Amino acid sequence: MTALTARSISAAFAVRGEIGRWSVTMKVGVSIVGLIVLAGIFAPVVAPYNPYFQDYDQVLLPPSWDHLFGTDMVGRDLFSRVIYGIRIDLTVGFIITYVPMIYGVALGALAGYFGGTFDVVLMRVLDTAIAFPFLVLIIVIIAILGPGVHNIYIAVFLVAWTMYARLARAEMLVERNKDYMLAARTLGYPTSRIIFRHALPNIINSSIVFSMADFVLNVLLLSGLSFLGLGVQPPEPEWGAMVAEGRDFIFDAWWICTLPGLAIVLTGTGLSLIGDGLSQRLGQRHQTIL
Amino acid sequence: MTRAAPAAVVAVEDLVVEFRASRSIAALLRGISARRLRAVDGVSFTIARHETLGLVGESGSGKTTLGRALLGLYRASEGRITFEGAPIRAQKTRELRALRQHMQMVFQDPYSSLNPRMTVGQTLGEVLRFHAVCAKSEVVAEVAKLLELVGLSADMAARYPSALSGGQRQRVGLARALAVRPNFLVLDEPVAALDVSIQAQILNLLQDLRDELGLTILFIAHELSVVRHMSTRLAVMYLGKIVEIGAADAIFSAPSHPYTQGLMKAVPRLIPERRHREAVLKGDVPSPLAVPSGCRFHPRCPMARDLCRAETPPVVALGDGHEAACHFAEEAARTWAATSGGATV
Amino acid sequence: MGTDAARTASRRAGSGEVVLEVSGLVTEFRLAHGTIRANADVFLRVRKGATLGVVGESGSGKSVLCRAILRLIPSPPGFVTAGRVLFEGRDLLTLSERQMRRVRGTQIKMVFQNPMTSLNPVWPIGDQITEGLRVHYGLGRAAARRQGIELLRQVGIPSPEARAREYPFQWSGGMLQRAVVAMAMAGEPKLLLADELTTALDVTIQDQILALLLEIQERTGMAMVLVSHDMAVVAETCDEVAVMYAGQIMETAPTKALFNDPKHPYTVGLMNSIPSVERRDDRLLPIPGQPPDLTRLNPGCPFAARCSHASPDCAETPVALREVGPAHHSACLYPERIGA
Repeated sequence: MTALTARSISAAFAVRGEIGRWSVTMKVGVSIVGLIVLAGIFAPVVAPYNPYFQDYDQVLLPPSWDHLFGTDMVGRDLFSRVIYGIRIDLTVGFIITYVPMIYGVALGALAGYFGGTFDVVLMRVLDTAIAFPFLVLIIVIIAILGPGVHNIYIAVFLVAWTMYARLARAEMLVERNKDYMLAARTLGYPTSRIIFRHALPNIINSSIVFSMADFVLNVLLLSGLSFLGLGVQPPEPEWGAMVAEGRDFIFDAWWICTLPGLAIVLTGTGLSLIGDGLSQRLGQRHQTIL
Repeated sequence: MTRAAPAAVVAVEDLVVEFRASRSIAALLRGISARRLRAVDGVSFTIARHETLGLVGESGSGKTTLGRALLGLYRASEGRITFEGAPIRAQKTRELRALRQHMQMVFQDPYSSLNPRMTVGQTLGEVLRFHAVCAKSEVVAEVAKLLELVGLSADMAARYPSALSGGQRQRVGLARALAVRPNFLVLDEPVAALDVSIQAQILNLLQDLRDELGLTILFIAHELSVVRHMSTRLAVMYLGKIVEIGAADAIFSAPSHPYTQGLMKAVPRLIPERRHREAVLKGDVPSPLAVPSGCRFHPRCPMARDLCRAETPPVVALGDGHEAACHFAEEAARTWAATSGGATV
Repeated sequence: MGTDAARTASRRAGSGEVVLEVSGLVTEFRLAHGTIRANADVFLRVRKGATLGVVGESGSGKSVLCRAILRLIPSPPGFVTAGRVLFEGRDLLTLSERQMRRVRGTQIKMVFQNPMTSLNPVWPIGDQITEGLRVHYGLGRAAARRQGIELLRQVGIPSPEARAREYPFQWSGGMLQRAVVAMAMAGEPKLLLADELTTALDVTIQDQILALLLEIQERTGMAMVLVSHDMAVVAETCDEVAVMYAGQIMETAPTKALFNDPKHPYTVGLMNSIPSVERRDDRLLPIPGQPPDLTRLNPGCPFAARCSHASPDCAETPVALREVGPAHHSACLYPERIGA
């Protein structure tokens, strides 16, 4: 399944020498996200300071050549913290986007293919989940389980798959009746092969496009939850948590809030651009999702 | 193969295929049973070895459903289907899988019958590998052979369906069906979606392959001319029932069911002198959810009488396996002969 | 009666007031991968009370032609770059959009292949039929309703008073196509363009609709252009025929002349491709090869590559319709080779 997703993604990106045919949107988006990811991977090289080191001689310094983004109230280098923050934000964002996508798409595909009682029950579960505002539901679950990244995983895994299930089911209902699916049955292929090998690559496009938008929202969700103190706990360098820490100093040291905030904006923009580029490429009608 | 092969490759007895309309969750909980639609309603026939049985009918006649039921894609609600003497049971997945190597299908729509995400080579290669038709190392060569068989060049294997024309796709669909080396093929409107010049190419190819590979074929179509060209025997379906069956030449020279006669008169010909006159058959095909009483053709039949409204017609044997399900089959045949059906032709 | 009909037919084919004359029409689509000439120098003429059949395979430009006449080509990418479309002496290509709307609403009507999508699923059929009457003729609700019911009756819908209130999903395909015809008949147009009107229908229903069209024509004297891929439909319904290939008219003639004495190899090829209902042929004679890529046409005859009579100069010499018989024109350079 993951191999398939990878294949679809690579087909969608059409890696084989087709970069020249990417739209401008796509190129800009991929460049932004690519730079951010590289910076995260090579954080120890890129970041000039230890992100946890508190230097009480260097408290609340404005941006300068020594400290590109300035320092915070305990003298930590903000630029280094923002760079290390990439690791947390993008990793958590990736996991809470793509893990639910995998089983959401699978469940939706199965429901769409088989129909019947399973489908009816699944749809009612979906309706119930969608009836609650997403963010409120997450906050309630975390309030019950307690703050922390692990509980964010649990809360999001419980809720986020529903949209993917819905998309995949709708696409499967169309695809199921195409003759090539019937041909696969005529050729005696097992049902699992028909669903996952034949139908899946044809129904996953809308989920991939949606996942880009979802990824952006999930990075914002993590930052938001951390800002509220429900997510990543100090002293971990998470962007939302950093914005929250700088809140008290916003008039004296604007950079503590603003620059991590800009990192969030930049990441979100890059991912959205990729999403737009993908939806153009895949010729889908999901441009309006964001 | 010690056992003598039965004369009929496919035998269908009193076949009924029903569909149930979907139910709401409330109906599901209250245990209300779904409405049933009989797409195929008591059909019997056989297909002899190396024979091509043409199956004609308008939309809603159940011809496509019948074709799919033969391949075990739909379950028989009643009656039975036997293939080479053994019953086909749609619920026995394992039995069906073995059967797939002997019977295959070609579909109507060349634009949806191939998986758009797989190249021609992948599509054909998958069949060969899955059914272990040849050694893994020979798959590429076998794909090339299959493409050549249907008149395509071997380099087509690298193409995606979107890069092929309708006719080329239909050839690939045919190659996919032939990959398992079946002896029975169901062709469901294989040329209906193609342009006439391409249609003729495909029809000729089908004839060649039939003779070369000794295939037995069920040829489903709505166009009488195409069916006449391809078939040795012919069955005409109307609202889930076969109304007339027999040798193609016999039916075309002496159609004995008013519906068959109506169909034949309604087909436009390449004869400008036969300038259009009044419509032959009035009215629409009724919904299969509200089948008329007695003979189901009576509301449209020009010869309908009280008996037709009251009683289901018997199957009248007209000799040499020619049968028509009409109370007045012989009279209908006489009328046709008297007007030589003809006059309009 | 047969000879009577034949006499009327030949009269209609030969004389009568010209309703529509298209000449030198060029329609191009400028696409990313090249420019497609969907209509190249098209000439045709339709007379009052007569039917012109336009036959061709997919991609021949026959549907584009209909849309170009009514100026319904989406632009960009489509452009009508040359030619005249004379309708009752006025060149439609020079009219303002406002005047054109008036023509479309009252004098030239067009009907399409798919009855399911030709009607709006959320409005009652009766309302849709009378909408044109209300918009273009300013009829009141009650008057429009009466006329709508009358139109439905004329196209053979039983109990039209009740059925006018129903929605498209409640009707069968054949009945919907009748409703589409009724809608086109509102206001008695002078010209009807029917684009593959019966293609999606079963033969017995097609038979009914064609009979209906001819009956309406008989009654109203309306001219028709019947676009179809089906040679047989055209043979039985039309007075004159134009055969299109790759955007050009290959041959045009009175129906009998075209089918009994074709003067273009493509026409012959099409006729040989069709299996007969009368007898069982052992073998069809298909046209070899594939239809051409419209972005890469050679300067000469577009059919040259598939033509069994072609000589090397066919692909190089530009072709145009030339008279080969009474009212019979062919674009073939060597029509004498046919039948030889």
